[in-house]
Amino acid sequence: MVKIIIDPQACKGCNLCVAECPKHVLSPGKTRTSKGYHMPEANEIECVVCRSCERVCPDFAISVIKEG
Amino acid sequence: MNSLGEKYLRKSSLPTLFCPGCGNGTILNAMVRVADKMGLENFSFVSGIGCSSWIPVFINSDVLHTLHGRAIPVATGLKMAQPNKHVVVFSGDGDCLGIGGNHFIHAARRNIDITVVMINNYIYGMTGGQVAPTTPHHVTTKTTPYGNPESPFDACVLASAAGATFVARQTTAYPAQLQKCIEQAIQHKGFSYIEVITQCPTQAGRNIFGSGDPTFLYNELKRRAVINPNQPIQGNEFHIGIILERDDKEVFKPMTVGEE
Amino acid sequence: MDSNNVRIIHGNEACVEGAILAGCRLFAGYPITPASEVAEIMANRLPQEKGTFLQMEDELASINALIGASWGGLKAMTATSGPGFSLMQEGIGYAVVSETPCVILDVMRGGPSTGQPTSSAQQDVYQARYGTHGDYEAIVLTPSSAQEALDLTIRAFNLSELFLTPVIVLSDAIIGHTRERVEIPVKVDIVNRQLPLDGVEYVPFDADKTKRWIPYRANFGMGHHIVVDGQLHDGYGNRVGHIPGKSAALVQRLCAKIKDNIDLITDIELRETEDAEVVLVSYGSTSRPALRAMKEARKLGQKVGWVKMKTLFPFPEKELAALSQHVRTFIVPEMNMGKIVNEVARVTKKQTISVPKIGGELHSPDEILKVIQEVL
Repeated sequence: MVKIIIDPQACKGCNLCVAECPKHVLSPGKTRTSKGYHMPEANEIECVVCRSCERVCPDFAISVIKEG
Repeated sequence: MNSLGEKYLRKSSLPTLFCPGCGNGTILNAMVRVADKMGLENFSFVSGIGCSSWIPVFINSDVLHTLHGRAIPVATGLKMAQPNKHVVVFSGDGDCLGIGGNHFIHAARRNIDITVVMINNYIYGMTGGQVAPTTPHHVTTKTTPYGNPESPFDACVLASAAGATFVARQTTAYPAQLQKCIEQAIQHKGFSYIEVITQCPTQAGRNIFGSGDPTFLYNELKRRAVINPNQPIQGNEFHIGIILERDDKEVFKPMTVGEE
Repeated sequence: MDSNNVRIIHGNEACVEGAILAGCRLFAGYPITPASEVAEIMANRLPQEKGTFLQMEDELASINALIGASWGGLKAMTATSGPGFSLMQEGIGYAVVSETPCVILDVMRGGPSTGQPTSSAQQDVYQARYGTHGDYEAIVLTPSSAQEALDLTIRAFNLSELFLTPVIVLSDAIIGHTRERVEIPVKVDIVNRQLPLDGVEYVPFDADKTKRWIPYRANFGMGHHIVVDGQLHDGYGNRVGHIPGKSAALVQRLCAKIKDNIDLITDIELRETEDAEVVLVSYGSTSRPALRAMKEARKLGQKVGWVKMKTLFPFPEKELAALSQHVRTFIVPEMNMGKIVNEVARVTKKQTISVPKIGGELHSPDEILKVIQEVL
């Protein structure tokens, strides 16, 4: 079970995680943070926990949590 | 914020002042990961003035955020006082090669045991997009509205010629390689220099690359980066990887008298 | 202080010996006449004392190397003259705002620009006070002999550690190169920056009046994770340049740190001023012919006094204002076109006569005595 959590206080909606993800788990989203940025959406089932998104994120906003 | 950020970032300085999609954040990310592996207590950071010079300020460590172009001599003094710390300098292309050019050349010549991460976005970003020593010929910027009449130089060639003993180029478009290279540079004894080609959506993106979209710029840098050193580069491509690594030159040590 | 070492050395060498006694263990400098001997002698002496000598690529690198070394825990110094002093101003301003202790020796020569490399002057006095941009206070010491060059360099380090600020020592080509008898003490009283207290939250860049506006100081590597910045900052080093109240508060504290503590700083010598009608106000090299002129005037029965300022800034207003209660005329001989005379006039509000002299020659006692005669 994989959970992908994006911090709405940190995310600036740059979508670099979307560009970097090799499995196209992430896509541009519509949810806006309080600062007006659009956070990406995650199709968690497809995630292989490569953590490339965590590595590229300029704002430490994304966490990939593997449970079980 | 994720657990890495929670552990290592200076909360009182957040949020970062980086634009959305700015490569500086990715470099911060890479540095934090290296510090996590090597022990943050073993590090001191020095930076100049510019967007990229803010990178170490956001790390919860000893940081000297100094004057424009002067990070390298400050780092030299600090290293003399605390030779057992890893001193890492963050400096932009204008900071390091423009106003700070002389200090960069001499620190390389001396082979001072510091690591300089030179963040190259091809422009003076913080002040609004003026031409830099690395801006390509003929490009339009805020101070070259009729096209840049100057040619840029190759910072890695300059570093090698000046006497640096570890020279590499990386890009924020390949963060894993960037992180590994930063670690190698720090481990190297002597003057280590990494040029990091970085996307700058707001200034370089709009002025030089024709787009302020972070994803477009990121993919463009990925396209321009050539990993195979034997493959000739064309147009605006650049080689990434370790360009020079030598251990045959003495690391700078100040004069001493008698036994240590 | 036990002094058992008497040597005939010039002011430049005396500064080096004073610095080493005060604990200086890093020198970063660049050759420039008439200060180069300081670098040369430091290059010889510092390795003997397990210190570090660096000849940097220019004066910009030199002042900035001091900043790094100081945060690394070392007492650090540089030496230069007018042209190099001009280059160092930005770095001096950074040291002021970041509260970085360090000592800058300016062995003054004729200016402006390349000026007179081998001739003396006192033309940099305003630059020492106002050389860098912004609102700030400066501590400027003015020795008048090789002995004072040693003594005041020691004091410069102690003041810089106490107040966490750069201190400027203004020597000149005459003092720098004139060999005189100097007593070199074996040991001196040393002041070190005050480390933060255990168990109390450490605020690196703030302090209140009870602490004389002076923060505690931890160096790098002590686990306090300090961010040092030239931009105006709060107590934790975070930028506040965009916040008017907090910006003003830092600048005000930095200025109060010097101004409110002037009693700890002022170092001034007064002779025969109690009954004086005329007082010579002097500093540096000119205090010596001024002293002779005062003595000659007294032999003539004239009521003349003499003041030698060993701290030029913060300007000793209290002492001069006190004199102006009974003194009617102040005479200020200077090897410039008249600079400190303006401070004397401002503070005393009495008749103030300038005796300027440029070109490189020191005033003779007779030149000053002549002015006294004209005034009496």
